[in-house]
Amino acid sequence: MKNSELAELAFNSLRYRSLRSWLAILGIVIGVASIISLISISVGINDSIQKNLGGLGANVVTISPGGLRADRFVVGGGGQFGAPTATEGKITFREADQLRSIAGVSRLDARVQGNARVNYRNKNTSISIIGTEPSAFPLSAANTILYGRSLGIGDLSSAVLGYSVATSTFNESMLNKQIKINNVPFRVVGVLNQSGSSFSATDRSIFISQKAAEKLFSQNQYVSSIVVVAADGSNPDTVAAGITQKLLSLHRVSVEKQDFTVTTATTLQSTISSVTNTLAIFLGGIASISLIVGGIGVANAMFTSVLEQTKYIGLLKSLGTRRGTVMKLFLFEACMVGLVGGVIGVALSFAVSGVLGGFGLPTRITPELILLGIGFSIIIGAVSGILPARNAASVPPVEALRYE
Amino acid sequence: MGAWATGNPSRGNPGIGNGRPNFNLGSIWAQTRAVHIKGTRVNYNMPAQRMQEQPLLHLQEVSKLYSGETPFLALDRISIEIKKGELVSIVGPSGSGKSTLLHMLGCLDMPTGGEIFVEGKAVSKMSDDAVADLRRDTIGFVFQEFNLAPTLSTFANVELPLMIRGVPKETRREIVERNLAAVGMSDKAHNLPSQLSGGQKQRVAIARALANSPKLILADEPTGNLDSKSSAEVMSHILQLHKKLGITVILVTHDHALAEKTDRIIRIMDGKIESDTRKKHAGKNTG
Ligand SMILES: Nc1ncnc2c1ncn2[C@@H]1O[C@H](COP(=O)(O)OP(=O)(O)OP(=O)(O)O)[C@@H](O)[C@H]1O
Ligand SMILES: [Mg+2]
Repeated sequence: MKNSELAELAFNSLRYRSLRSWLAILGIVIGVASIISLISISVGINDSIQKNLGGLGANVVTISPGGLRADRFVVGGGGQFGAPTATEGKITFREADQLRSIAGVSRLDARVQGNARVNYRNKNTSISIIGTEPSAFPLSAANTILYGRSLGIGDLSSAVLGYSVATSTFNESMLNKQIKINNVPFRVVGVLNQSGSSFSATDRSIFISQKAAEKLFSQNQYVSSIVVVAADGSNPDTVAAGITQKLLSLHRVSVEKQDFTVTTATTLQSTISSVTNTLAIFLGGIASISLIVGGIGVANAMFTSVLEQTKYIGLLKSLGTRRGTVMKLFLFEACMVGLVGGVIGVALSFAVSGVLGGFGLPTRITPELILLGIGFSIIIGAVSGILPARNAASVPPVEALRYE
Repeated sequence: MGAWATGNPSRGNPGIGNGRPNFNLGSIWAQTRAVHIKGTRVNYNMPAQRMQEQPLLHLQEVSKLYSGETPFLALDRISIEIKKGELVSIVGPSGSGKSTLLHMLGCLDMPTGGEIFVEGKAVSKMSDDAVADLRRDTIGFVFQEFNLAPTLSTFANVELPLMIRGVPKETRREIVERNLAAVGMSDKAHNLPSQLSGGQKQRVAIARALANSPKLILADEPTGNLDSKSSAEVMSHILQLHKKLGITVILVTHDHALAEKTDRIIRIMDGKIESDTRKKHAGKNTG
């Protein structure tokens, strides 16, 4: 018998199935719906993270001392989050200078940074201070001046405030006001635009000149980080590779023992994707358990169906249907049950992720996710149909015919 | 070939119309009286003595023991030969083993002792698939409970054996239409079995049993669930199969009058053959 004809027959018997055996597909419906809606959360989270990354500057390469590659979120704006790396490693100002001549490096910002106490009137808070090279600023922060001006070369007592520092921390017009950083007076000469990225610390930092920061933090040998702005038309990843090569040879270390980290928007994106993918696998894995339970439901439905159709199987066999063909027929039926469950599950997942969206969780259902859900449920249907189909195939024809 | 388009080429259609114009079966199936195989004109409705070489079915000391809590010997060393073209009835009291015997003859069940030969081949030595193919290509069943697939239309029920055999769709349609016409069921082609009367169901079952042009029709009390009018109708269809097409028919029945119409009566009692009587001119259907 042709497969298409078998499928037709299987579909036909599906149409006349008892309500009871249909209820059993509920497991698959719920399984698929939960897999898709849970994974849609991680897709949604990835979406919103990637959107945020847009604010970090695509042409910026960040170099920071310490080796745990791709394990650190060192961001173009200069801030960091996540655990600082455990691996030792230092980059000197001299080494930083040698990177300036690498092809594709438009500007290089060897930074000195740290947290300091900042006083303004009666306010006293700890804020991240970034000592930046005025010639590279504010390009190296992937930002522009909102009002006021940028830092000048040799500007030892000027400060530029990140957007949130100006608007939230001090909450008044700060231009030309004097603040004290670790008791050293600085004058606010400008305020940066909002970076728009929750990953960048730019908005929450105060920028002063590199020289002033060296003095403030008594750090004149080693950089805290280096931010390189790639030249127009050059690929930041190529520039990053050149920098990596150069630093490896300066440090006389192998790639395996790399004691610094080079990050671009691309590497950051893939790092974040790998995190959200892990999340997707985790959530999907949890939901898969329910789908497997759903599979047991299908198996149950199929056993019922085989039992309900015992006489029919006997008839098929008396008409000379081979064992393998009977088995295939019931496998087809099981696959179709899976398919129906999958389709209903997908429809339900749209409703569920709509509700989740209503609670503020970002969700997105991709076409791949739909195919995955339906494909998975067909497979579950097929797998759970194997035993019932084998049962059906092994029914002796005469017993089936005598079956009451 | 003629009205039986998909028939096995080793089978012919030797029937002759009996002159009853209102009887579809005869008039349609009797279009071809003989076939030409490799240029030789072969008439398959040969006299019995010319077919002596090989019986269609041969049961050799066949026993069937139903195992279970109380094992039951339903058939006890039964030996029968059925020749091609015979019209045989099996009679006996209820529980004597008639259905069991018929199932053995139709290779629906395997004996627990002895051997069944179909056209000389030992069934016990065949693979499961080969036995299935044998049923598909050689045997048509008609059951007391009709056994139509409840979810398939009349048309699809008759089409089923053709589908199983892999006959192309167009040919299938032709054969189904012809067979339904032969049993007078064309106008109910789209009905589900639940929308048919008992007699109609059995006529559909006959059309189905004939779909693959079998050599052998096995009928287990085909009229057992029918009133006398439908019974007569169904029986005349079955008897015509034998008369017009020369198909071997084995019929289990309670009805003595019916058994008397057959050429050979095998009487079963407690799983044993009590008697096996032939009429004088058994096996000769043509004038
Ligand atoms: N699966 C089985 N297990 C045990 N015993 C069985 C089984 N099938 C049939 N039998 C027994 O075998 C015997 C013969 O059964 P069978 O159906 O062949 O009788 P029958 O001659 O066709 O009777 P009826 O005329 O009532 O149809 C009966 O006594 C029956 O109880
Ligand atoms: Mg019986």
